[in-house]
Amino acid sequence: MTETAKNGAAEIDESEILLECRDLVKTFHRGVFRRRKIEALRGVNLKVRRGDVYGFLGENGAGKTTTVRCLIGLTPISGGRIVVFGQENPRPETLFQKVSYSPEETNIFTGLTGRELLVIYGRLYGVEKNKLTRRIDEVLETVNLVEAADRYISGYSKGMRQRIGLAQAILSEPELIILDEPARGLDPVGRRRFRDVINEYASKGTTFFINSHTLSEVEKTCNRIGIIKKGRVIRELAPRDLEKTNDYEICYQAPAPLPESAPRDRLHVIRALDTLELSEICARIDEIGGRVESVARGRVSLEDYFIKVVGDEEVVL
Amino acid sequence: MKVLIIAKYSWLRMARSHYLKAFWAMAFFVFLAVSATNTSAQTVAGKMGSVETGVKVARLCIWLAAIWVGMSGLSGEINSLTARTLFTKPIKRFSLVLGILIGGFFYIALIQTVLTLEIFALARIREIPLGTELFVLQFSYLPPIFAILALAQLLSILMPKPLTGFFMLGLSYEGFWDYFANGFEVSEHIILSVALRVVYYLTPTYSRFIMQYQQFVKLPFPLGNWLLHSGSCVLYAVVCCTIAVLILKQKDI
Repeated sequence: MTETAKNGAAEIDESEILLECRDLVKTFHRGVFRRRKIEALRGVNLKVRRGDVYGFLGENGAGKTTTVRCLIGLTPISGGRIVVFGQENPRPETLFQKVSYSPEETNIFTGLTGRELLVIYGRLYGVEKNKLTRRIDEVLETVNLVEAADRYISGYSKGMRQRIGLAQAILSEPELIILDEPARGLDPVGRRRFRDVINEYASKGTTFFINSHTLSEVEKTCNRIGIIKKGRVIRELAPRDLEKTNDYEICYQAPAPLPESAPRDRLHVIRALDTLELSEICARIDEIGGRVESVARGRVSLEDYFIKVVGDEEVVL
Repeated sequence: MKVLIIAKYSWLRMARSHYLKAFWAMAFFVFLAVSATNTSAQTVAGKMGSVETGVKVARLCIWLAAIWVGMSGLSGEINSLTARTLFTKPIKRFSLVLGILIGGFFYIALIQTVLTLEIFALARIREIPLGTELFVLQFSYLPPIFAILALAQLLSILMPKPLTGFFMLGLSYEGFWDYFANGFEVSEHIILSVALRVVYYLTPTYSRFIMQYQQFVKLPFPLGNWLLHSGSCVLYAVVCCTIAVLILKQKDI
């Protein structure tokens, strides 16, 4: 784990921690004689506080889904510890009274109607029958599926399946909700609604752990972000930390632009990470006979930061 | 109660699966075909023969359906990844596994009931005197069916579906595993014979053999024997479910 990730974890008040992974290791054994080892997680450390909306980012194959599956007990861990609500390896019947999980849209049985699915899951959560009907109506209203409630899920669009997954996750009003790729397949209106639902529940004190590829959504929704690479959490940060970077955006004119610059209108744009790099780039623009039009303090987008961090771990906030 | 909720879920899953709808159609048409081919029989013996054929076809259908349902219940959940949603609900794993099994069993019991009633309806139409014994006998096969389902469910999470099907054809009630196990001379093929016996002892066939033919505990009334046999089948299913839960704890879902 890097210093930044370590520091991020150290700042957290221990009493507020809802979910914690300590040196989480998961090794898959593959092949006929299970001799081929695949180290999916190589010491994941992360802490989620009460009330956090925690975004979990990583490349394909970095270990995001494996981490989630370990957290909710769908996969036995090979090493390390998982502590949820102060309990190490809690039993499913007690754990899932407080925690709910929304899988990817393909992981819901499609032979039921939306309402039937919610009735079955609501009964499993132990919601009383008379309260359940009212609660299901509320939840369907929240995810905008009232009209489609009595249709089979097999006839739902991808976005609707995501929303019914979200509906079953918030049905029991749990303290911690783990969402796996929740924004996948949602149109802009659906994404906005999804964000509103998360904000609404987060304002009530619900904690979210969101495993996602959609960086823009994570940036807008989450107050803390963890980035995993090759089975290790390499960064933990808050989106506001991105504003603290010494990033500069240089717009310039030149007959032949510098190779790392991008076109914008009739100008070329290039980024400098600090003042030293800024002066170097200005000198290079001079050399090629160009003219600097403007220099502005920039804000690194989460996407830029993610690509830099995943490609090169040396970037320091 | 949660077991029953899962059983209902499992029932709905079975009822709305296309392959089981196809199975219903197949069972119905096979039965119609059997009854149609025997309409020429005029004697009581001939008519009885057609009923017996119908009963055998019904049993075969139930047997195949039990294997199929057992194989596609729990492992179907895991393979289609819907288990990821179901297994993250506040319910004990054992209750979950048992609930899926019970749902499948009720579904098979429904098929059994419909087919048995079909046989009796046909017999009534063709004026064949059928006693209640046959009716009771048909339903007395349900406890071993429960054991078959549990065994199929257990095997299906251990191995791929085709292999499970192969083993189940041999292991289940009317299978041929006992034939192989008893067919070898122990002195000539010790290893093979022992291996076959080990598998044979795991089968519902063996359980039936003990309870119905050897009868360690002889009760003075037949219902008692049947209850004892049924109890052993339920115990067998519970053991299978317990082993399945232990395997699932080590399995990546």
